[in-house]
Amino acid sequence: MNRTQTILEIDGISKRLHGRGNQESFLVLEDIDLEVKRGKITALIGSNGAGKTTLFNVISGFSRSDSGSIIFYDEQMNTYNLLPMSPYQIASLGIGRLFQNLSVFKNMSLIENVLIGSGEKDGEFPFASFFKKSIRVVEQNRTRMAEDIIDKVLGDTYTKTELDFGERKKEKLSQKFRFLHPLSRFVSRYKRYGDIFDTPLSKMIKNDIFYRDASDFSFGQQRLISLACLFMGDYDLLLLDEPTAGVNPQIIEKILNAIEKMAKESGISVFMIEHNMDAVLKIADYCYFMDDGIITHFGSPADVLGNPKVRREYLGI
Amino acid sequence: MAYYLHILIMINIYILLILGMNLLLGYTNLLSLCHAAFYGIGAYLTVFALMKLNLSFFPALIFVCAGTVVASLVISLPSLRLHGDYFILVTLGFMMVVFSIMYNCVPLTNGPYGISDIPRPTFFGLIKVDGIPGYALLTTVLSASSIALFKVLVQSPFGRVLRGIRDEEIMVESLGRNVFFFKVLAFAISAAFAALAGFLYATYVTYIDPTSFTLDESIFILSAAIIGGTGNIIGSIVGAIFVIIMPEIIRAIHIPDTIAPNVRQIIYGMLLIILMYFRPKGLLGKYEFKK
Amino acid sequence: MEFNYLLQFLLNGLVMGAIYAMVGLGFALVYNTTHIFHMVYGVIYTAAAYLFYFFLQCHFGVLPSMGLGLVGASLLGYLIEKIIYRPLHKKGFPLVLFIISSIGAMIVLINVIALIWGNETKILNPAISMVFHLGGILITDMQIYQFAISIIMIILIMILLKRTKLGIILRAMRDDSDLTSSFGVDILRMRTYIFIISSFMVGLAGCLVAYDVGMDPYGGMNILLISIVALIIGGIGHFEGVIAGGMFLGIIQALVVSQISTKWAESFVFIILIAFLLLRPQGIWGKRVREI
Repeated sequence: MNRTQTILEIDGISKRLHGRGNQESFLVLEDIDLEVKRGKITALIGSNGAGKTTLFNVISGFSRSDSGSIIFYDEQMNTYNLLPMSPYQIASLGIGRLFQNLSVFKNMSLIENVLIGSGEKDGEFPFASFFKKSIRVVEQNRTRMAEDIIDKVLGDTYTKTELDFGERKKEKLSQKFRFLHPLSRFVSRYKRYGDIFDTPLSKMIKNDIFYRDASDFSFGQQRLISLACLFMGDYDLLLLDEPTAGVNPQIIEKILNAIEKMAKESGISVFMIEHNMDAVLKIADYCYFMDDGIITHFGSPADVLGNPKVRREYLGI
Repeated sequence: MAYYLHILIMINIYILLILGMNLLLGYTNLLSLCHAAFYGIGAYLTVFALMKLNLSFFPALIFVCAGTVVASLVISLPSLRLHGDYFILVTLGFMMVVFSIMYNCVPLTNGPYGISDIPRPTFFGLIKVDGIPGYALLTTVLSASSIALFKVLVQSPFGRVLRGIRDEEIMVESLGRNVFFFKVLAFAISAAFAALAGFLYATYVTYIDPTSFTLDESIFILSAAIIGGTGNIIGSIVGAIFVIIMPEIIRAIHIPDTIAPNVRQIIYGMLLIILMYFRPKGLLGKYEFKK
Repeated sequence: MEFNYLLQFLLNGLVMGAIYAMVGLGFALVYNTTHIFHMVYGVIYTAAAYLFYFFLQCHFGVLPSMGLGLVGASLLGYLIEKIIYRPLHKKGFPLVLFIISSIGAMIVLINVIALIWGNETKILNPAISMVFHLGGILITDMQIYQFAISIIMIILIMILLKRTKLGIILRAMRDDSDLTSSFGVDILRMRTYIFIISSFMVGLAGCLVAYDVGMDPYGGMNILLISIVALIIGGIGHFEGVIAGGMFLGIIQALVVSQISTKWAESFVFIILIAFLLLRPQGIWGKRVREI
């Protein structure tokens, strides 16, 4: 009797890519059957080109599958077949996605990068603030939550230069607007509007780092930013595509701790593609091995990674 | 004096057109070649509202903008789901079809003969805005209000989602936002801005014909938006000032009137080429096209 | 009588269709392999015609003038690739910038031509064409040239694509340009060839049509638009498709002119474009438009 619930059930998923001209078509995914357990961390490993990201794309709705079904079980045990749904509908069900090669919105600031992931989507309509007065409050709450998450996730990764930069800018702006200091009562009321209108005054009041362009941060920090963006949402299942790839050990540690915390404390299910075997051994509860579009091994990470065939083909040992 | 007011009026009208284009290109990463079609639809709807329906200013304005928005839905709903290049082509096709209808459908639009004696609008059936100073004031008030509205729009949560779509559309979709819906809205708002410009243009010049609303005009508005700068408001304002003042500068340096339009176009074309390589965000823009 | 009237238009449509097929193929050659929307393509058509005219005015003789016009067109295509597209490609910019830059080049060139030669339609060959009778319908010598040369050019290019090494490389680029370059293919040199060949084709069309009916600085726009529509009808990625698309457009235009009126003929092309884009964007032969 299996005590842990299933949150995602993948059944018989196949996908054929058609060749052009003289090329043959080939199966990038062949009859995939797998289950992701609620509240657990499941890893998906395999060599490059094995089809892992394609599978994630099919689950998220960005790619079509030729056959099979993907059933999602929400907290009330309602079932949804994800295959006919579009990506935003799937995300709205509570399935979040971290992409392999996309991290941040480059032309937006740090705080906006996190705000855009907000699970509270109220007010995302043209001129919403004219129709619903409560939007201002909603936006303030969202902003506060985003600041909180950013502090927790990125807080200790700021380099001294970044912090100094923030402090110096704050000093400069404070000096520039010092004539407004006597009007502090006005300033605090203005702060409410400042949140919506994003003026220099509100920047002066808040931590300037929040307004730095996301593209100014290091790659590792950007990865954390995209995780922070996921934390803003209300997800039951997270699909993480190589969360630790290309990132320095200090930040890998942070990412893995964050993922573990999500699963153990918040009960979020995690399905992650990883090439980092240490990470898999450290935090994953279950592990699937995919080879050329077929799931060939399943078990605990130690079992799968200990399997001689896997070791030979994948790890080359 | 009337001359300078005329320049001001045209700048105001073009600020509206360029803001609309900027909303699409600089905030949502959509390239549209049919902006002049909405400009023209706005102008012709204005004629209908003022001359056939005898509406006063505000009802006419609402009618014109609503009608143009509906026209925008006619192409955006079926085509915004398609891959980027296809959408550009749909706008191209739409532009040509709309122009063709404007030019060939004489019973509807009077074709190439145009429509003259367009009345100036009246407020609440009482006050008529007439004369160039009056129009200078009207257009300035409307363009300033539109700039303010635009600012509120792009800094709002809605604007944030648009900018996300501009940077990484797929990520926005995976965050549970219906990207298609947002694009349709952005396209509709952009069409409304163009319609307002059409309203002001038709009532100011009091004569319209299809030759003002061609593919060339769409490209002209696009160029102005890019030269001024995409992704922020000051870029659009600068773009409008630049393209309205440019002909005057050319005249001032004594380039003959016969070749002036060609010289102007060559300058714009060269600017586009140079800017795309050295400074894609335009003179004062803020949006760095992602590498 | 009615039938003959129709046949006449069909013949005209077939001839224009061959021209359209050739220019469409040239456009497809660029778009399928590089995904660049070569907006300035239409102006190369015009430029070739004007160069032809220029050399005729210098009393160079018909064939040499046309030859020089074609050389000029190819050179123009080469320069555009080198000066405008390649620097952007090297910087790794997204394709939107290529389109805008191409539009810029288009604006510059059209206006340079208008500045030098004026806006009016120029006639190259004032003589009246020789007319042949085929049963009840007429065909001019220019029409025969247009049709024959276009068809020959199309066949040559298709042979190039299917049989030669260059053709295989080009088709590989269409499928996956990154993969192709990883096989050691000099992508930059391939792009140069692509632009030279396509410019030659559109220049050829420009000369053939201009010699027949004359030209003006803005005629290239129409050709660009026809090429785009032919590409969409046939399906992006398909070379045979665009040829069929071009022929189809030529014939349809002729039918519209004969049954409805000339003024709607041009817009009919765009109605077809929109219809295809909305109902079957992949064209007749293309694959389903990808989701991402």
